[in-house]
This record gives sequence, C-alpha cells and structure tokens, in this order.
Amino acid sequence: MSLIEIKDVSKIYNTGEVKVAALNSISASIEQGSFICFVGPSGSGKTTLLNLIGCLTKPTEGSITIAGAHVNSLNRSQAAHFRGEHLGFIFQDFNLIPVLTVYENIEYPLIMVKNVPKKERQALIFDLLAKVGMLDQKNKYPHQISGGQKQRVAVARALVTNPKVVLADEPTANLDHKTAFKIIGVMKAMKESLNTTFIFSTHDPKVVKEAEIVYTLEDGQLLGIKKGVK
Amino acid sequence: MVNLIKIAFRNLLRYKRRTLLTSILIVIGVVLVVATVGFAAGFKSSVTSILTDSTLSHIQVHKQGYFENVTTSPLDLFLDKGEMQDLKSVLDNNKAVQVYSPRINFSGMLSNYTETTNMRVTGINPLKEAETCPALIDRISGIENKKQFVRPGEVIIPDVIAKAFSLNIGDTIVLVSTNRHGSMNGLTLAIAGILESYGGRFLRDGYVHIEDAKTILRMEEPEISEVAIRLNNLNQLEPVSKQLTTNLHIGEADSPTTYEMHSWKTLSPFTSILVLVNMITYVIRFILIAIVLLSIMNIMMMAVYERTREIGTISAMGTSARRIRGLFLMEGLALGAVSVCFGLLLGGLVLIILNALNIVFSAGPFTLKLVTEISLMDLITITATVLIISVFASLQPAYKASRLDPVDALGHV
Repeated sequence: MSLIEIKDVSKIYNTGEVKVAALNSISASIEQGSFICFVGPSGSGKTTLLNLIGCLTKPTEGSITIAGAHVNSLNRSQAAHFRGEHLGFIFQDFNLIPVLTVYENIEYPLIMVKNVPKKERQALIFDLLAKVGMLDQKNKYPHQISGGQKQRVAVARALVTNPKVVLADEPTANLDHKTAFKIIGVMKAMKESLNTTFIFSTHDPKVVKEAEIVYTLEDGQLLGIKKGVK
Repeated sequence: MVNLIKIAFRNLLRYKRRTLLTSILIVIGVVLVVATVGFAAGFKSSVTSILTDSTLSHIQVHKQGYFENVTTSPLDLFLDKGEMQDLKSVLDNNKAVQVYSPRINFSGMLSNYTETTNMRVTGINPLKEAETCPALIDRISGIENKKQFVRPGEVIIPDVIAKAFSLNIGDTIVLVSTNRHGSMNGLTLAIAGILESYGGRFLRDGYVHIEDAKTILRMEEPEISEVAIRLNNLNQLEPVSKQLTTNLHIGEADSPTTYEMHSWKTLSPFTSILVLVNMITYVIRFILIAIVLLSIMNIMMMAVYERTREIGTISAMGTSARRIRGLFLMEGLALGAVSVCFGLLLGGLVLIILNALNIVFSAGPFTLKLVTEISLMDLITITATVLIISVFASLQPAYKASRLDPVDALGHV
C-alpha cells in the first residue's frame, strides 16, 4: 500500500455566493521515500493539495489516506496530533519563530508537540544541524542569518520529529537560484539518509528538474505525472 | 513549563515599548493600591489605637439599657455587687482578657467659685484604668505619678474647661452632682492633670478617683456604670465577644438579661469614617482590576493579531490548541507577574518614604502622625488579584489564537 492515497479529491471554496473549485477530482498514490514536485501556474491548486495532504484543511469530496489513516475523518485536535506525529512543514517565508534561536526553533516541535526528553532532543538537534550545515549558527536568531540559512533551519525543524512526509510549499521562491539548488540538495540528502517523503511545490522549471516525480496541475486538475526526471 | 515561561518572556520583549508601557500602567495601579491600602491601614490602626487605648478600650459591659441612654449617664442603670462578682468571674476565667476597669460615669457641675459648667465625669481606679487604656495618661498633662494619675481628692479636667476657666494644675474646684435618689452633693478637688480632648462626645470628659465618685454620689457600695475590657489581642475581638456573650447569657430568650456588651466599633462615633476609608481602598482596588484587565487584554489581542502567521506555523507543526492557549495565557501571566513585583517594590518604597517624612495631619477631631502599614495578607491579595485578572484578561485572546484556522493563519499578511 502507498504511503499516501488520494482518491477523487475535490476542494470547493465558498466565497460568498460564488463557489470556486480549487481541486477537481484528483487521484494519486505517493510512495514512501519519494521526492515529489507539484508544478503548475498560480491558482492551479498546488497549495490546496499540499494543505489537504498536510491535514490543514479537509476535502469537499473524496478521501485521503496517509500511513493507513483516513485523515478526512480526523477532528481538529486529532489532525493536530497527526501532523505532529507524521508530517513536517517547510514554508516559502521560512516562518521561523523570531524570538527563538536556530537551535530553539528546531527544538520547538520536540518540546511543544512531542515532549521529547532534553538529552534526546540535544542529540537529534545537533545531528540535524550538522546535516544541514548550521551547527556553527545554532545560537543565532533568525534575523541574524540569511534566507538560505533560514530555510536550512526550516528543513531541520521539519525533519526533527522524524516525520514520514515533509510538505514544502514553494520552499525556494524567496531564494536566489544558487541558494535554491542548495536547499533542494539538502532536502534530497535528507530524503536519502532518512527515507523521508518530500513533496514540494514550485514555479521554477530548473527546480522541477530535481524532482523524481512531477505532478502537473492546472485549474484544479491533475494534467499528468512525469516520473524519473532525475 | 520552563520553556513556556521562556517563550512568554521573549515574546513580551519582542515589543519592548508596548510591553513597557503596559507594565508601567500596571505598576502605577499596584503602587496606587499599595499606597492607599498602606495609608488606610495606618490610619485605621492609629484611630483605633487612639480610641481603644485612651478612652473606649476594646469591649464595654453595661447594665442592660445603659448604652441607649449613654449621653445622660443614667445612674439607675448600674451593675450591683452580685452582678459585678459574676462578671469578674467570667472575665477572670477568660484568657483572652488582659485587664478590665470598672467605671462610675456621672454628670457633674464644675465650679471654680465664680463660674460653673457641666462635665462628664468618670470615676476610676487609676491603676486598672491605666492598664486598660494605656494611652490615656499620654493625653493628660501635668501628672506626676503615671500609675496613680488621679488620687482621692484629685480631679482630671478637660483642656477646654481649663482654658475657659483659666484653671491650672493645683487649683481647686468644686464638683457637684446629684445621685440616683435626687440627693445633691459636692466635693472640693485639686486639679491633678489636664486632659487633651478629642471633641464630640469626648470634649468635656474628666476623671476622679472611684472613691470620690462614691462619695459625691453617696454610694455605700460601688454602683458600676460600665466595665471597660482590654484584650490581649485586638484581632480576637470577634471570638472573645462571642464567648463573653455566651458566658454572660446576653440575648438569651429564656433568661433575664442583666448585661449588655458593645465592642469599640459600636461605641465609637468614628467607625463610619473607618468604613469610608475601607470603601476608598475598594474603589482603588477596582481601578487596579480595570487597569490590568484592559491593558493586558489589549496587548494580548494585538499580539494575537500580529502573530497570526506564527500561530498558523506552530499549529501546522502539530501544536495542540491547549498548548497555544497556554502560550498566550503564560504571556499575560508573565506580564502581570513582573508588573506586580515591580509595583509591590515601588509601592513598598513609597510607604517607607511616607513614613520617613513624618507627616502629621488632622482628621476630624484627631491629630495623627501618618504611619503607613501593610499586612502580608494585603500583599498576597494584591498579587493574587493582578495574577488572576492577568490570566482572565488573556483568556479571550488565547482562546481566539487556539481557534485560528491554520490555513487562514498561514495566509495572514
């Protein structure tokens, strides 16, 4: 069985009297340890699909199963718990907590979500800091580091709880090309070493080439799946 | 918990100016309450001390019906020998009673041989009276022996009469009175001291020895008008009053009532001033509550609005609604806690400075030195009030933060 099963998923937003179909009957299967990219123009439904897989919202129709769990039926509290246990998030704007240091930002989900003991936390964080090349910056605050460094920290934060899936919505959009490739490289390296499934969205054709499987979306519909790009 | 506190403090320091302004507002409120409560407690303590230690004592026992007619000093309402023995037995067996002083109250006419005026006279045993009302002798000028401040053949007269009649220590006067049978009698007495008056009911009070009172009123046995009782601790007033009420069978329907008993609060005409002072402290406390409630609610609502995206991020990471609520509640609590600490310190400093300034002021008939005091219970109450209101004020913003939709919150600009 696939890690993620998406069956005939639709998402319709009600904006006043107007109904907007953000996704229209999407189906897909995503395997454990894959490196997947959602590509498409603005308004194609990439972010909505990521939000649905991330249990941040529920589909209007269809079902999503992640790691054997029917996530549609989870209530707010159960969804939060599920996200903490199985999912990691990387954001376009990095979304690091400004009052916490690099180390503390990575530590945050271990304390606030998973209650991991201090010694265990330290080992996990130092390991990830070394892997993303941020060990020497661990005591700096987000405003003291560059955009690329912030995204490395965000990658480490997403991975620190050892999630099955990491979802990244336009993770390279606010980075220059060189840095963007470095971040994708870090994500790929993490995927290789931890066997984590990475799903990210992007507009950048050069970044798309780095994905193993590319899902192309347009107007809420899945136009095609391209495998084995790299 | 430690991490929650750490994050709360760092978030507060994120907007230093706003946090500082809110904190200053709360500190001012706390200082205001501490100063008011400290002043009120000191004022009450001073007034209570003046009233109880120099005139009223803590509790007074009379013959049933006496208090209703106290202004006329009724001579026919007295405690006889048997009643006094019973009362003494009850008082001697109560460990909370420190000392008591039997008094004979009567109205007299004082004459300096050319002019005559009325005076409210109390016949006392000076040794007992000095122990029961230890501050009384401090109000009497001219006395040589502080324990035997009025001996047989001597009189203490109020300063208003001394001034009006140009009387001095050592001068003689004649004190005339009518006893309960209508028989008039007079006694020549030497002025042993001049009593500083409070005003009102206490304006024309004088003292003679209890033996002279018996002589003037032609009593074979002392006919006691009142027994002034001093307790070991004024804080025991309520329980001791209850004990004495029971032991003296006061207010019992099935037994004839001999005694009536009143605490200084009932006897003093100034108790209403103390109630007013208490009310002022409650108003100031209410203002503090309003300050804390509005300022913390305002700052926390702004924090939730400004950190909406951050809330979306931590929510997406899997932080439970309970934890998100906890973060904001802790932030409000931390702000309240820090502010109340500084407020108490500053308030304490204000009280110390006020005491050091030795301010003397007139409050009605009293001349008081401003001595502020604040109890540990008051400090605990103020702290608890600020902390509880801080949490209460943070509830709505915290709840709002915990209910934010993560997708909407992440999209917040």
